[in-house]
Amino acid sequence: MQGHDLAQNGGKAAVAGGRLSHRASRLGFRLFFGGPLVLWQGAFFVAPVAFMVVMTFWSVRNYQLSPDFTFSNWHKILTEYYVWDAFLRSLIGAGLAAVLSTVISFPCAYYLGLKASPRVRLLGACLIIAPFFTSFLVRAYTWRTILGDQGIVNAFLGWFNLGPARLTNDLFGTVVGYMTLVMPLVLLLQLFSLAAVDRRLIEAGQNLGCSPLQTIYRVIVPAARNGIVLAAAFAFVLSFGDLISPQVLGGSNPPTLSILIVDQVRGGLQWPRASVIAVMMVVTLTAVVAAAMRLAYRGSKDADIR
Amino acid sequence: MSYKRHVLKGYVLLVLAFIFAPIVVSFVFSFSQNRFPTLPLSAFSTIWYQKVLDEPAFAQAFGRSLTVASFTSAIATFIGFGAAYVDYRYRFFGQRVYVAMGIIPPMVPVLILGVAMLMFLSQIGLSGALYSVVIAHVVLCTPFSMALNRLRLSQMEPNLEAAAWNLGANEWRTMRMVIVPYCLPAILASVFITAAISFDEFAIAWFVSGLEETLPVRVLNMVARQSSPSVNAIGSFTFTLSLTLVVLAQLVLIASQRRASRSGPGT
Amino acid sequence: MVDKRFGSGLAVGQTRRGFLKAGAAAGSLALAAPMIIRKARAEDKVLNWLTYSGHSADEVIGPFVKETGIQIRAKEYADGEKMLALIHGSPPGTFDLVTSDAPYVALLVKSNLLQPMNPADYNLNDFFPEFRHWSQHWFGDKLMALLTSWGYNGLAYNTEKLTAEDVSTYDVMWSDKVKGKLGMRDWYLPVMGCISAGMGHKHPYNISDAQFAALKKHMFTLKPNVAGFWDFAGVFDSFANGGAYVIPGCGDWITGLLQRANHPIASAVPKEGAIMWTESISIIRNTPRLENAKKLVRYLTGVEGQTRLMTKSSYMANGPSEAAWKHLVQVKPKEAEMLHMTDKPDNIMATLRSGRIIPRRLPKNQSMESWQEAYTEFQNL
Repeated sequence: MQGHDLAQNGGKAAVAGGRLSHRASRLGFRLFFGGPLVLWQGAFFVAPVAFMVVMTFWSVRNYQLSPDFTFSNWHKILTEYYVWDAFLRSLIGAGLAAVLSTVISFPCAYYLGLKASPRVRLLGACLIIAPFFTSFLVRAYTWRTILGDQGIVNAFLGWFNLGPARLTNDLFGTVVGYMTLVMPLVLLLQLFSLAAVDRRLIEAGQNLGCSPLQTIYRVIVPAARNGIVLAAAFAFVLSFGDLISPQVLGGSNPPTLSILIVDQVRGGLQWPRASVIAVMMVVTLTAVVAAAMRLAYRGSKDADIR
Repeated sequence: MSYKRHVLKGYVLLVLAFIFAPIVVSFVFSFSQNRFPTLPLSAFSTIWYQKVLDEPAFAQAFGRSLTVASFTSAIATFIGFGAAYVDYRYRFFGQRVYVAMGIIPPMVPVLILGVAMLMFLSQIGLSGALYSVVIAHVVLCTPFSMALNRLRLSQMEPNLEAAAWNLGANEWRTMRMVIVPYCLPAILASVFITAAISFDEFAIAWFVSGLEETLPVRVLNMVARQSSPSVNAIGSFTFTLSLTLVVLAQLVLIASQRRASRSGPGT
Repeated sequence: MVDKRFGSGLAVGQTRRGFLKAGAAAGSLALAAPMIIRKARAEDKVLNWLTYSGHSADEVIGPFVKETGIQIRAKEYADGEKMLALIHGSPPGTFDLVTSDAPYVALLVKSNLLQPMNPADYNLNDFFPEFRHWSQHWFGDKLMALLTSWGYNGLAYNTEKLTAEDVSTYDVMWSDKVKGKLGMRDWYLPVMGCISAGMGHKHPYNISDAQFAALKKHMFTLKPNVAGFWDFAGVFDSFANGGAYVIPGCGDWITGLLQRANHPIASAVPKEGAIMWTESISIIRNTPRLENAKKLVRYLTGVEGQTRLMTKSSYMANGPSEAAWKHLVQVKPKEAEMLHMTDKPDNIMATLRSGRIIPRRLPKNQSMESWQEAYTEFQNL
């Protein structure tokens, strides 16, 4: 009975305004929620990015940036061996960061999302978000103090007469930096996914005789695939473009793509060439994220589109 | 079973320890008299806090960052939520480009994006002020909000909306009574994360903020050229602030849960 | 005028909630905007200064602000290239003055951004004779910048690990004593200048293409000793925490701070010479606040300003003013000692006059890019 009344009310609204206003209201609904992204990014993001692409064809004459149409920047950057060396390093570094952060975060998110009480889960989430508010720059520099040649870790090792370990100015330092950057985000996204896994699925798995590990592998991970893959994708994107970690903790030795961009600008004010590298990075990351999203949302509850 | 549980708990603490290690160390060194953070620790001193508090520029920069972060967070969360919902519910022409607009910003190297945004905003007369920073930060933070909400929406039972429609609710009502409450964790997380990202962003802010210095730009200058330990003091301030918020959130939650448990079944 | 700009930039949806949101946002930001714009246009009592970190601190400009009542709004930067991008990308009139390194003065002049200065407006007789007509600041018959600070970039080293004799030559960088402890700065210009000087070039930046190729080869042989490429903070940290024993392209401006904090680090001018760095202040073309800008320049080149610039806490520096030197020796003898500004025959001005401190220039016969590229390849090895 109640449903009938409600339907009547809804119907009344439709009839009162007529079919036209009903469609208009639906269009208004879509524009209200879908419009702002187009408006904002269209107004403030598209033009700067287009300018960046245009700049790749400009030239620098006498240290002055001048409009031009030349492929020389593209040719120069794409044929330099050190650019591809750096590209590979960025790929590997970001890949390591994505894989490591995912693997390291998972047990933590598993506990907080599925084993802990809601109170503890919330406390955990808050503790994960809190470091977001401290400066990443300061945290990166503080890691130098911790990992440096005479830093805290080495002082600790010194008590046991273990030799000083070189932890900064190399890949280890860079990866520590990446992890500092992405772990909170990865943890949070995984937590979201795992906490939303249908408990009945887990029960079903256990009723069918799965051990806890099997449950994780065959039930939980597939159910939480969206969030896990999305988190890894974010980790990859953020690490690939990060300048601070390879510079402060990796000693720029050897350089990644992000450092090359700075180099290009520093020597010769080559904004066009730096833009070429930037476009390379965006294209690479778009491809990686597109693949990740296809993996994440394939065959999930909402209709398959990509 | 309980042994495994303890191991897991210990693991969680280890992970948290990694995340908090630089923050704790920075906090400790903020009380060290030494100009450069070295071991062994030097005498206890609060001079760096004194220096920060004495500088009027610090308070101004802090206030500016709070303002920018608040506006950015509100706008980016709204735009990201809306875009996530539209992407979730509809199929339309150009959807890939639509999603791309909401994903690409973090992929562009900040040095280039900063210069490009400065030049663009200058052309249209919107550079050099705090709203310039808000504009740029919303561009940068919306993808995070969109991703979080899209993730949450993909977890939603698809029949939930249909059920609401069958009961006669129109789209707006469904949104208000079904979708938003379901997405609330993602929306709240978006609010905090976008605020945090904006609060800490210095690369683009440096270019577009002109003479309106925000806190991370101030920190950047102190770290980049002066290597001043006052940054540790600043870091400790902001961290203490966010920890306070965490504690407050916990208290609010405990109180609301008590109320909920009194009145009946909760969520 | 203000509202129109807001209207175009903040177009949000037309629905009820959208209107409210847009109204609230526009309202509050519009509240802020007139204040901002009014502040910027408040004619006489503000100066907008684009400068390096620490220059606009109260310890430097405090007396100026107190005396003239002019408020200084500083935009601080660390990289010259970002500064150039900022100036080019910002609307004209954003800044009144700019402090920059000598090479960038030339680039700013080329972009027609600076205002010629009249030497008669400033007290150049206080300067050492060498600095009164500093050729790098004269373009044709126009003075475009005034020196405010200078120093040298030679070898900075850990006095407990290396002796003064070790660092009397750049060859120490190849020594096994510093294996894995040789630091590099992240900027190619001073470092490659030092290495070039170390090869015996009297004009390190003016070398033939053959000499440049040899410089590259020579530099690449350093790689096994290199620990990392660092910015200022990284250099400080590495010296303080034992990550490096010697770094080229550094000088008193870094080691003075470490010495103040009782670290055993010092700078040396090797026998092959050290590269000079200079910071100078220029006035932006068409600034509406010309008279006030001149006042600031006068202050910074006067005794009080110079003394404060020399001993500021961000980094120490030498200055061009002889009068300030004498003043410093009297009021802060310890700092004067650290800056080698003493009466001894080996003081810094003597070293400058002997030609062992060589002015830094942009590479003459090769492009900046090729030098930077060599450095990038060096990093990539």
